[in-house]
Amino acid sequence: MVYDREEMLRRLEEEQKTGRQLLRSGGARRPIVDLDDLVVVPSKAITQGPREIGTDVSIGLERYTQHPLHLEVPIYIADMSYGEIGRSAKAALALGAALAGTMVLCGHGQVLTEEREATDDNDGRLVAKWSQGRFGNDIANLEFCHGVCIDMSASHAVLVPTDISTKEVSEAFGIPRGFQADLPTTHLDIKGEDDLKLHIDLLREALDYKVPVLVKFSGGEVYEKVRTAVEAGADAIVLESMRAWRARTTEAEAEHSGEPLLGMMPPAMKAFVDTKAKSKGVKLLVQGGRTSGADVFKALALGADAVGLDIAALIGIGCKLAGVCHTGKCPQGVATIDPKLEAKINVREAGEHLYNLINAMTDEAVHLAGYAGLGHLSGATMKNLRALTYDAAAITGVRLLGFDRSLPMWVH
Amino acid sequence: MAEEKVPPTSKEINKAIRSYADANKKSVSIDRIKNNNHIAVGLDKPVKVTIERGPAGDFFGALNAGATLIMNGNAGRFVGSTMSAGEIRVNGDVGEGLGVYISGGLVMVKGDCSGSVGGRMKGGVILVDGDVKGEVGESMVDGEIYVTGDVTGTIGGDLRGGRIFVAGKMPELHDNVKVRPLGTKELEAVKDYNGRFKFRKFQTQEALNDFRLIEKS
Repeated sequence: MVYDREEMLRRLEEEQKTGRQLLRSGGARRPIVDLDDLVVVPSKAITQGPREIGTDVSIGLERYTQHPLHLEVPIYIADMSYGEIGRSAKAALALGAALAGTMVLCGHGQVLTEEREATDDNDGRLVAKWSQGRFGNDIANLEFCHGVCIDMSASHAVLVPTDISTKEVSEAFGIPRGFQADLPTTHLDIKGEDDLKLHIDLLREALDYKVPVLVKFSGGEVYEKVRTAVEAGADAIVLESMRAWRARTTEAEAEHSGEPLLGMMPPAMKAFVDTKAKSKGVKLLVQGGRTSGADVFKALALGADAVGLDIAALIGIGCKLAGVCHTGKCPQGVATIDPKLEAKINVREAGEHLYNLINAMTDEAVHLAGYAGLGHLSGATMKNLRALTYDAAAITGVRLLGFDRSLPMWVH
Repeated sequence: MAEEKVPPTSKEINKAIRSYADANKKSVSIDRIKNNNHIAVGLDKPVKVTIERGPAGDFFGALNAGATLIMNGNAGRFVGSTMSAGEIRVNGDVGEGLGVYISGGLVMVKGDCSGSVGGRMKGGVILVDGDVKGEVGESMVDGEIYVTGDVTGTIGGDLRGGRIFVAGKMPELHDNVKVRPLGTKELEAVKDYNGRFKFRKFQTQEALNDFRLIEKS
């Protein structure tokens, strides 16, 4: 699909010269059916908004977890890895999240010293990644964190190319110097559906049933994936849509793989209903390109419990959308591990800016909740939404504006 | 070594082991487990855990970070997965995925293994005193794997680094790896391991010359 002639020309000329796919950064940029195709409406003819609207969410309640994750807001920081972004950027994300009373899903590799300090000093919460590459996944790193997320998403990414890798990257990833940190698509020790339960139980046993275990998926077979994870005993499911930010990706991956959030929610919610997941305390987290409190409210209304920020969080700490993350030469010092560029980030200042941003987005979502007549953000439902387009109504089952009913394929 | 009777579930067995380790006890012995998964996982204290009779289920000793674990009997899949330090010895056969993702420590099996031995390992040592019915060293980054017997599957598929030593029969190697006889230092290392673990297949020191080294070409 041609959506940007200049971009297309640049890409094809580069590929013509090199014979290789052109690297780029970011998620899907082309117009796809998304949360902007929905609007918020009151759920009753007469509503009276309460003065205070609750925003908190807990992960791990009513399950096997001694220390559930309590988030003061239904917004968290999505997983971004060292090497994709720098030490200062990671520290600023940890600080901003901690100040806002929420969590960071860690990227690949060990938790950095700067992240530990920002988290420890401000009562923060980090969730370790248990990925297909198993980078830096020793027990000490897992025990430091407040949760662990089994990454089952299918991205095949070059996390840190050899030409920009450093001794620090090798140490964080637990690989020899000079090796490229690239991500395999499968876990060698998860061979079938039953093995996911074995992994959840393994992490519970290894961490002495102290912290929640999350499972993350990207698009495709969403119903089956979510159902499997809930039945396997996950405390929360994380769904990543095709708008998710990546430091290094290709046109094919970013624009033509994965699913938009709107397409993932209905099968995920059907799996939740079929497995009685909500009554078991299982939470649904969604992430990938969300940039506003309106996004947050609409995602919650579609059934999510919390929303992860990626590019918005990077903007919160100083990103100016230069679009050069894949080169490792971010002029703002965010998507780089070059010490000179990284030095442009003042961690305290950037963390406070991110804290402000999370507060502002929470306020936006709360404002919409008040408009919809809710007492808590978790009370948002599809009744609080209308679809502006036929496609959005057909994909989600949200009532089509004007028609004011769900489309016939959703009426059972 | 005092023999302790412990309850049968994995959670209870692990709780008992952890309480001994946290109390800085040097060793704990478990009389019997019956296919329990996740036994002795995530231990970061230098405690010695001996299981007198098995079999163990899957993920025995996974995420080990300093303990010495001895299993007298067979074990299931993914023994020592994602281990970073310590030692695991299994006196019996094990399932697939022995030592996948390990980054340090030593895993020793006196018996046969199914495939996926040492897949994506980033460090440490795996010793198999027996045959491997499947792949060895898939996408391995660093570390060493020793197999005294035969290997039936691919050796070093997508090998990035590290070294694989095989003494028995092996299939035709792919172009990404090369094979050569052992040098003096490498032979010394094999002899040291033989002295320590008494490989079943090698009754004489000369027989150790059967080992060949497979590494990235």
